[in-house]
Amino acid sequence: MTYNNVIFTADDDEDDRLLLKQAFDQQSPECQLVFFTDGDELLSALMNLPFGELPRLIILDLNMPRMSGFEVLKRLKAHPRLRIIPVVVMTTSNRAEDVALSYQSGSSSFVTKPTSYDRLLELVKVTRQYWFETVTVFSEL
Amino acid sequence: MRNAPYSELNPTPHPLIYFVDDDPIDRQLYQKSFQRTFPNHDIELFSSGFEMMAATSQATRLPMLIFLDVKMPLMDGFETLMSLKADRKWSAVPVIMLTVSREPQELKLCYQLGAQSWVTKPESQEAMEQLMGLILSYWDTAARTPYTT
Repeated sequence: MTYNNVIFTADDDEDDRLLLKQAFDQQSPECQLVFFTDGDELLSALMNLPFGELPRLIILDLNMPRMSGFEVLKRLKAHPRLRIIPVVVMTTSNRAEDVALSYQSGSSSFVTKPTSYDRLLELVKVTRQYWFETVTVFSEL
Repeated sequence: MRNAPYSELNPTPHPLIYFVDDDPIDRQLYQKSFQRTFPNHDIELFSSGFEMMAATSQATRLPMLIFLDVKMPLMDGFETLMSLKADRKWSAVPVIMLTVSREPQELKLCYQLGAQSWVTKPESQEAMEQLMGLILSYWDTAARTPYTT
């Protein structure tokens, strides 16, 4: 498995996971999404990756049971190997405090979940363009 | 003393972008690109991290994004990044490293220090405008930042 096209996604909402998968399959089929239903699952999977392998990107929901997105961010950014993975917070929250706190906690960007499928497709398109074609991340070197 | 809310720190409607680069030719390239292609963004240019950090204490308006070169005299991109991320208010401003370097250890260190992205610096104005178009289409339309306007 090559991890350079892999996006790890943690979201407890099944509908949101399905919509995101559908949008990526339609807009950017070269990206491989791996879904987790909470932060615990995501962190365990990351810790158990083969040495030197990291996903290109993490898409992280904020409001999840057991462990919030902020707590996941805090643990990721405290981990010497995992802290270099870019994390995009994708949430229904539109609160200015959540935007600021996400960046202060080390997120790479903050995106509000779109309310329509067309907007989600557009978001997936610019996300792929930015994180796969414009930015250099460690996993591709 | 209370902290001013973010909206009070941003009285003007145009997003502000900082460029920090010691190369005068590159600074001119950024300025021309924005004047021609992105006139609805305000930009401020700094010739070193030291100059920018000195300006942060006086700033009444915070930028939406900071583009930061890596290799600079006086205070390089690493040290500037560390200073920004050590400040509660400024740590919420996304930092994009814009550099000619493709050195893996430098890239790794920038991400470890909290840079939001790493982008390779193009050489021509046309390529720069194309790159900025891609970057801004993400940060203007998809991503939210604390100091967007």
